[in-house]
Amino acid sequence: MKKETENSNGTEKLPRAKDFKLPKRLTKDQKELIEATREAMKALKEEEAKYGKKTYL
Amino acid sequence: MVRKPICDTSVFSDYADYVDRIILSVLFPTVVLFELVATSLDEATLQKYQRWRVLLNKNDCLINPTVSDWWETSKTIRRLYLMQGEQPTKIKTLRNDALIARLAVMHDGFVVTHDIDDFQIIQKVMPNLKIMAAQEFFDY
Repeated sequence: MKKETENSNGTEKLPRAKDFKLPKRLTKDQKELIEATREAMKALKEEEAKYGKKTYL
Repeated sequence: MVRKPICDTSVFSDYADYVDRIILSVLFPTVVLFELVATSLDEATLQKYQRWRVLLNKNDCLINPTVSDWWETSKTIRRLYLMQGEQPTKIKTLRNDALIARLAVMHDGFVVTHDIDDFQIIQKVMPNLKIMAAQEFFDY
């Protein structure tokens, strides 16, 4: 089991990525958003492979 | 109500393959989009971000700081300077993070980040802020 980060959130249990599921039926806009997200993330990874890790503000 | 995640900017590249699976559930601050766009280099990437922005907006995923959010966040940063617990150069780097944190609090979300230490500094003056390490959020 992985070590949890030090909890500074009190006793509240926060959800993890696996707790969020996509709806079974997606609207056209939702499908387009998912596709656009994939494309944007692919471009981000390609830029980092090409120019190195980014430093954010 | 289940709190929604707000991913800090640096999380996106490391978890790029997972983002599309949760994109309909996250709150997406315009501050994060600003940082992604401002640091992009290729025209093709900018075009992809442009399409992404339109669709994030169309699906009501974007959250934007209000006048009040800017005001309260500036007071948050001011309090950190006055507490003198951190170097001013460190506090300077927390400005956008504090805005992301403010949006998380105002929208009942929580921040997913690699920079737990930075957000814990903000948490000292924003006690309602909830934070989770990116590895914990994505890998569990």
